[in-house]
Amino acid sequence: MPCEMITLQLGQCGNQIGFEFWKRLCAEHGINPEGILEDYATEGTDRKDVFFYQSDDEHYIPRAVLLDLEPRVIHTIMNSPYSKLYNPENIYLSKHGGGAGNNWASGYHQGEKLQEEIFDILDREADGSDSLEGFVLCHSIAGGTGSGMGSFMLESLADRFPKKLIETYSVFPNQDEISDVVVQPYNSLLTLKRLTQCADCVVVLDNTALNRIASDRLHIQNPSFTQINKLVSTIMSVSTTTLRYPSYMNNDLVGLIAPLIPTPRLHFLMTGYTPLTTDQEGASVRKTSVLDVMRRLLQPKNMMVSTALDRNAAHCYISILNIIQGEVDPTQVHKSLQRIRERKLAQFIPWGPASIQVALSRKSPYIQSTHRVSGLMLANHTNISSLFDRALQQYDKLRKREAFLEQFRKEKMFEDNLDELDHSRQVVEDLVKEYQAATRPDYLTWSPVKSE
Amino acid sequence: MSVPDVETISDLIQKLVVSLWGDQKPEAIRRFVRFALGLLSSSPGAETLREDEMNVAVQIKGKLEVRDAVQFDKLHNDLKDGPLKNRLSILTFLLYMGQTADQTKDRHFSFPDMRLGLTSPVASTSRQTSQVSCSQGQMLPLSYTETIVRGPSLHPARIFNEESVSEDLLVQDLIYSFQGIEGKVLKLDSSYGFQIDPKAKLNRTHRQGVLRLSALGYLHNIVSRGLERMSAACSGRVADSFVAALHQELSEYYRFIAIMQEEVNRSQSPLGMDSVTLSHLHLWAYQPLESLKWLASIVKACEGQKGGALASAVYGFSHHGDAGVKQLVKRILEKVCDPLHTMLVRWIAEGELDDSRNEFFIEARSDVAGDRMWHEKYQVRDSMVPTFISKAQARKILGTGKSINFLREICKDSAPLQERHRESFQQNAEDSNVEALFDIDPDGPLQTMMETAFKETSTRVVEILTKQYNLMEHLQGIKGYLLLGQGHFIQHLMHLLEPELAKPANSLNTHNLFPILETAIRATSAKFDDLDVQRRLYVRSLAPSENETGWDVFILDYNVDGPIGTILEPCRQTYQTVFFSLWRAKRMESILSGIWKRQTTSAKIFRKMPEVLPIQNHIHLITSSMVHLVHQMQYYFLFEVIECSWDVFARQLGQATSLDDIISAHNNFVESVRRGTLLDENSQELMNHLRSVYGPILELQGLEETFLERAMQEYEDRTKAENKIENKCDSSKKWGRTTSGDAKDAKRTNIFTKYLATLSLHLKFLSRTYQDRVKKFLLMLASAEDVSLQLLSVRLDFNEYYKSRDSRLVAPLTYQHRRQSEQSFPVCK
Repeated sequence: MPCEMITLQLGQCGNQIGFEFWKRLCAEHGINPEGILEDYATEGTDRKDVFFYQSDDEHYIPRAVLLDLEPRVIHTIMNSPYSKLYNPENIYLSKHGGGAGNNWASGYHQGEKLQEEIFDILDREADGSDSLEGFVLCHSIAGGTGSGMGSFMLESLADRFPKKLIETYSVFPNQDEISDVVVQPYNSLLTLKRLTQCADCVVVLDNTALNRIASDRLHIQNPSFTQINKLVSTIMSVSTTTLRYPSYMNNDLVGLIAPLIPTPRLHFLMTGYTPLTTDQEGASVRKTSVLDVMRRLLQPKNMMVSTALDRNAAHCYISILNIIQGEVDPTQVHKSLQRIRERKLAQFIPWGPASIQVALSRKSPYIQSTHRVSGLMLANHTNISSLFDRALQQYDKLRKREAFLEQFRKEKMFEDNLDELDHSRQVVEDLVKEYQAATRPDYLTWSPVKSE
Repeated sequence: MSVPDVETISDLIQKLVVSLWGDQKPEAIRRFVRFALGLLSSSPGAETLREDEMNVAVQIKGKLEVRDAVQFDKLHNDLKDGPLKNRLSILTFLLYMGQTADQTKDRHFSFPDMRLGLTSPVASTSRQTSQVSCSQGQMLPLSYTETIVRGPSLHPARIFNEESVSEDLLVQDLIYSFQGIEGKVLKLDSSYGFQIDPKAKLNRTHRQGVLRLSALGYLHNIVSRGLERMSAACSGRVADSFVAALHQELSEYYRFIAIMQEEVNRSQSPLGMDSVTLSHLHLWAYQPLESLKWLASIVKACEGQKGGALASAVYGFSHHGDAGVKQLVKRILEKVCDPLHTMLVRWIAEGELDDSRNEFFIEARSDVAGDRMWHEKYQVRDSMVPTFISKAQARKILGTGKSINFLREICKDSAPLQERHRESFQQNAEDSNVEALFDIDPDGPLQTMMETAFKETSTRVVEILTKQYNLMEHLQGIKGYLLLGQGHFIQHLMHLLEPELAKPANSLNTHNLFPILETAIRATSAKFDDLDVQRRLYVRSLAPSENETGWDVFILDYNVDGPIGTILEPCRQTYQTVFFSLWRAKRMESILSGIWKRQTTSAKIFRKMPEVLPIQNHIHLITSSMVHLVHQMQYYFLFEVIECSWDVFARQLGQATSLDDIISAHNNFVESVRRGTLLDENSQELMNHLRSVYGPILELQGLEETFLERAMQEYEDRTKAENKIENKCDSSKKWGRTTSGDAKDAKRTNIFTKYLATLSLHLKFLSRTYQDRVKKFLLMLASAEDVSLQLLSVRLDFNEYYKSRDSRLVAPLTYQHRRQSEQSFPVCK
């Protein structure tokens, strides 16, 4: 069936998490690194066609487009066992190979220059699908390629495929360490504007939280990119599991995100996953109940987004979707929800009906899990605005000093003025305001501020 | 006894009667006196005794050799002088001692009772108690009657000069009557009883004795007439064998009569010893009377019955404390059950009903075949279930044969197992006897065998169904397609069908829909399913009525036949109803998804038309609240209801050992799904109301589509106008606006703004209607009897959004509240 998704991996981070994501999908669907179905996986009721297509020679090829301006990560991928998995025509590496220099403007403009070649690839992919549902963009918002070129791609995709949905997995920078990218606040803000205006659903992958989880919860000292990316790939794969293992509901992207996103701009989703384990542990199978899982998912420490406590607003959930996998007794779900409600473990918006929605999903039969039940929470929480607020503050600090702007002024967009920065700031600020408004009962009458 | 003695006795008695009864009518007094004299005359007199003593002595002597006879005479005379009082009794005893030794040799049939009766006088000699008087009473007429025999018609010693019928005649008459034949004195009456000919004169004792004994004849008549009628009715083999069994019992009885007759003959022969008296008959007839009494009641109970019912009727007598009766009933029961046993064995072993007279407790209807075969063809014929076979057992027996037939007719299975089963079974059946049939011992051989047969055939059926006919695949198919388990397939199908179903219902052509269905199957992973499952999917449309679209009549159907049809066919209707309802819910989801997607994607375009933003926002908010409800409802239906019911069903299926188990598990599943999806009778209002909740969703779709169209038009017009201005600016380097263009634009914009204003009002109204309906729906759910519906109400309003806006929803679910809420929906009831 239709509803294919084309994945775009942009930049170093985007390609890294993309690589992990495909690795994971291959394992789940029983596809070997060369794209050939394993013998044990010939029969299955999974849907590989959402993310893969079959070439003539029975190869499963990811509907993935790999883009980068510098060769390092893509070379790594091409030297890995998975090198034959991808369609080589879908791997686009800038001929300059110089990267974007962590500069949003550079990435954006290189994207602009390369757009024809890139859209040739995308059009071909789109034509190859029966009824494309949308695009998945993997990138980071802090660097140059993922943020800059990503921003450009978001704009062009929205423009060229106006009826397709755009979902992004956007990695937010780690706030706990001092970044070597000094212009990160500019990059983030400029990207956030595009994420707000052009994307339909943004799954926020907060490196701050991911690192904290890795060190605090998984007890990994100085977690590596690979370890972090494993977490990310888990989130990505589970969040698409209802598309790939269809059942009663949530079998397409709209069905998955429509219940989560009540108004177009409030589309930044947090994730939480439980149980979190590393490869080392987990020898014993743990008996986890549905209630355990659902309760843990509501605990901040399991959230993959680090949000600052905001005392000015009564932050609340706009919506929650729990994707529960494993041996789930469906009768348990209701009881768990009752418990959560009685104990008021989750605070919801006051302006519309909202609840914890549950999707019971099948899971891959080829991956042995040490846990009976596992769960991913996709949550739309107003407190995500604190992340944007932080981005605004950091931007403001930098902007006040007019620091590091010369790199931007080199590019066409900022040649004459820095209006784009101001404008982006406005958009993000409006977004924060809207999230804050969403905590109040009068959100219904709240009018979006004209941001144009 | 001299005449004057007699006269004094009668005088004395008359006096006694008068003094006892006072002044009575002379007739009455005479009657009493006669009665008393009658009693007295039957009592012993010394003379008769003496006379009899002589007689006995003569008889003894006749038996002895001459030398011994002389010796006997001497001894007898010695005795007469001695103090021994009961010489007669002793002599009689001695006589019979000698006699019995001889007689037992040539007798096939012995009369223990007779011997007993003869020995009792001996006992009475030592114990002169009133207790034994009855046995004396029995004994003494023996001597007394002999006087009558000696003096055939009239005896001078008679108290009354009434002509009395001789006892011998009576005895003969009675013996006749025992066989149901009228005699000189005993005449048949209308009810086959015997009455003494009113012309005949009998003394009271005789009359009573005769009447008592004639009961035997009456009973015989009852039995034999009953049997005649039964065999004439030709009501079947069981009845036949019942008749045969009773005839056998009767033949035993006839033998008894023959012996009695022989006895009578012997007594009348010149050599005869004592004649046969009524008392003899009394003694001898005691046992036959008992038997006949039972036979008669059995016949009475069984008449008009046949088959199993007859067996039940007989079985009803078998619990009797008297071992004799028990034996008797058992003998009959064995015979009666024999044909049943044969039928049973045939049925269990081969599934064949050999029952032309409808006697067996399983009946077949020849007009039933196919899907209904299992359900209707064979039935337990309740009236014919013998009481010794329990309901459960009968059901199992039914199941066994039915399974064999099911395998043969529906599954076309004649596997070797069947043969083996039959052989071993017949072997078994031969080993076990009929008795085992009504032996209620649950571990008896027949019971064990029936149990085994039932298990074996049932297991075979289950095996065939699951392995050969892929029951699970079909059930999964139904769950996947009709119960929307394959959500993506349904979604795709809906998407493909949309243009067709939007047409009016009466122009809907299922032939056009079928290829679409196939496309949908091919396009989704449904293609991985069993081909047989896919082949059975079919589209159907309900009878269309006015103003309906294809949506209102479209139904996905699952064709089933053969063995699987037996399970699924009866529930087909329910599946269709459930599908229809789920399909509608799914359609709501699809509509809302469409709205959501269009609004989300168009929002990016309309960013340049800020005036539509509030509208879009509003549409979005309404949509999201609808999405919430529709998703929650669907989740409830699909997971809480279907999936949970399926869980139970799957567990029961795993444990099912017979087709009936499977059917009942399946029926439970379907029923719980039907109830859960609000399609049962009790939920009709809820369902109707839910449908009315869906109303605004359809309305919103209409509004949204028009809005999108108009907004897009406006957007394009504006873009055009802007481009024009820009172009003009570029070409003429002049101010690009023209007054006419301006006016047109302004007018158009004005109309659009007005439209937006109306739309905004529309949306507000729609939102209010929707919310009111949802609130009412929640209230109805909360006041429902079913707890899971109350909880659903909570689920649908998890964050208490509606509760905070409707005070009625705040009220706790008290009795009072429920009453109020009932009153507040007068329309609903």
